[in-house]
Amino acid sequence: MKKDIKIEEILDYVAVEKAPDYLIHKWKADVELQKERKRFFTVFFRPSIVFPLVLAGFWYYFAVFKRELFEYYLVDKLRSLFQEISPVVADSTSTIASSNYYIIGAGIFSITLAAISLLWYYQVKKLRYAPIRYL
Amino acid sequence: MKGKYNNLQIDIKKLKEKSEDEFEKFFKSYLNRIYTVVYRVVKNPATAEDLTSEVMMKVYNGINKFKEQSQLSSWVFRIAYNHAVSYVRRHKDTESIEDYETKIEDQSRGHLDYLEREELSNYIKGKLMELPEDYRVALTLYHFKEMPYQEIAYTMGINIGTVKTYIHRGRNELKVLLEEVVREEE
Repeated sequence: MKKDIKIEEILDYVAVEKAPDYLIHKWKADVELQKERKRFFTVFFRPSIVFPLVLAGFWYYFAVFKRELFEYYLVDKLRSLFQEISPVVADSTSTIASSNYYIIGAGIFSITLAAISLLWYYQVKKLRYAPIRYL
Repeated sequence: MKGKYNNLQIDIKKLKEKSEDEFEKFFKSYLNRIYTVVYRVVKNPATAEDLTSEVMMKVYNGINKFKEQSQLSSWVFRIAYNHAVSYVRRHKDTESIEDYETKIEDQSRGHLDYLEREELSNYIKGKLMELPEDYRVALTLYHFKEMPYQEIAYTMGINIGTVKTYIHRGRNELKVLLEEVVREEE
């Protein structure tokens, strides 16, 4: 160590550490990734997509996993409601509920519900008379 | 509030518009110093790299919070410092940090007679890392091309008097730690 070197000078010399250059590239990649993630969420996680899917999910959940509750409201209650107005509707709900294809039917119904909702939202301009538009 | 330590011309407006070119220009100039602030706190190069990366994203995402009441660099150093300090607080018991501390110490032991400038700087860096965290950060910032006390105070979230005290004490403690070298000189 030379005598003329002072601590101050050495500290000036050692003050700054050398950072790896890849950090700049990593930052750029992180920014791109963040943009992509944002784009993905913007496109796929908008309420118009999420709500119908969630709604269909709830429908499917109650129809399949909470069947007693579902039957109570949609079959028994509807049956008593429709008994006088339209016994055919009342009977068909109980027929569907007790059918072997009930789970498949519930799934198809849920997906159809979600698909129609999406179609309604996105195709309004193209399909002026989209079936569910005026509901 | 322009200091000698900050000569880079950065368009803050462009930064706030998220111009990646402008950010790149800024980061290219300040990367080493941001890394140094983090490294002085965490004392582990791998961790410092990860945290520097996170700091860069924080700066990029939070640039609109910069109120231009201080130098941009000080604002960035402040983010880096706070991020590193909270990391250390969260990982107080992490062994890897202590392991690296030992490693630095081991490297710093040697025959001073044979130390060349590069080795000497490594030796002093090792000793610098033995200082208390506040002292070594204050000393480091002070030696970022003469960063003003006011900016150091802002970066560390303390007052100017405390900064002066830290730098003074840090320098004295470093001298004590380097006593061995000084004795060799004599």
